[in-house]
Amino acid sequence: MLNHNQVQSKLQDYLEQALPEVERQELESHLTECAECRQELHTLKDLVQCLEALPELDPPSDLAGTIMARVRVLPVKVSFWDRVKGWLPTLGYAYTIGLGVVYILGYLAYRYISQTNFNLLIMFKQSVIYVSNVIAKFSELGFGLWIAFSSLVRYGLPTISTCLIIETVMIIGGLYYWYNRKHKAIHLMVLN
Amino acid sequence: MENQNQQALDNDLIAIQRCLSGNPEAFEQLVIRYQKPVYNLVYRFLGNADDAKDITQETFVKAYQSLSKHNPELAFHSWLFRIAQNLSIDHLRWKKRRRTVSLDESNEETGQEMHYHDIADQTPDVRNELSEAQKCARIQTIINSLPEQFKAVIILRHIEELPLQEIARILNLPLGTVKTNLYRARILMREKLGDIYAES
Repeated sequence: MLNHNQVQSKLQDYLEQALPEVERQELESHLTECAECRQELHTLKDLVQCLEALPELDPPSDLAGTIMARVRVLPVKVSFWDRVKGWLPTLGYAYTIGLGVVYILGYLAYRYISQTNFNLLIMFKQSVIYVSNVIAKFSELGFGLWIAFSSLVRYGLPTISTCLIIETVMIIGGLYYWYNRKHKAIHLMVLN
Repeated sequence: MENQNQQALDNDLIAIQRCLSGNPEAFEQLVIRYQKPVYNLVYRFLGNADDAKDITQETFVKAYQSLSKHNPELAFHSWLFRIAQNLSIDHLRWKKRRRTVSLDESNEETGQEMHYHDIADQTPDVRNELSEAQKCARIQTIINSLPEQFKAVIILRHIEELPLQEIARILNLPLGTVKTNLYRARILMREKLGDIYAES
């Protein structure tokens, strides 16, 4: 048997239609017997109806214009980190293109030095192979993906598509270079 | 319906990104989309059209200036409601302080003992049966007299018709506290409306 305090609390959940089925049935059975609680529910329902029936007001017609007039002359306060995030796509493109240039220069350098017996240049060639294919590839992949996702969040699909195409080209190029490395290493031994 | 809501949320985020990229015109669609609910929220909070207009303006301007702080996990309109509610509370407190000072000055002159709270809580003695329109007008008066935390939940739940979970996010309160405040707010309103229902 429910007491009035319990009913008070349950009536609120009943109004929100958040009362479990068993408790709802228990409450409804109590309400059929208790006129006081029935009146309480009626009052609360009436209150809610009245609140929800309050007319929706139209804002003044010049409100949007006034707001925009103020907004147009105001700067958006952007934190340093947000500014950095804003540069990320540009940095991503610069990094990817820069890496591509390094690959091409490295390859040209290799072609050049493979025709010489100069040991210092052979060392340079080895460092190009390692930097290009191991360290740079991993960092480029990680950084590239990071850039791609940050681009997606900030600028949507077109940017990420471009970014991913560039990334894919770079990866294929890297793999091709990696595959040929074996032959180049043999050539290196011959040179040595 | 859910898709439409998701679409609206996505559009809001895109507009925010455009604003952050230096295009303030993108903010206009957010203003047009949300000026009505924000105005209604503020109006019900303050009970005054002039103040509602000013605070709605301030809400959007403040939101624009703080756009980079908007957390995408909280829907833009929820964030906007939070700003509107905080500004409305600040405005009410400022008005209360101002009126208390002017009343104190006036009491010193007249020698009468009188407090702002007495005036804020005083309710007209309704003895006649009221029409629906009068009842609604009376309800607005009672909303005006509610404590801030009760006023907020009543307006967000019954005027803006937001679910309890979203109200909890807007007010940054646990769901249980929101339910308790709503419960107490309704009881308080019911007590203040008691004389009307006693008649009807």
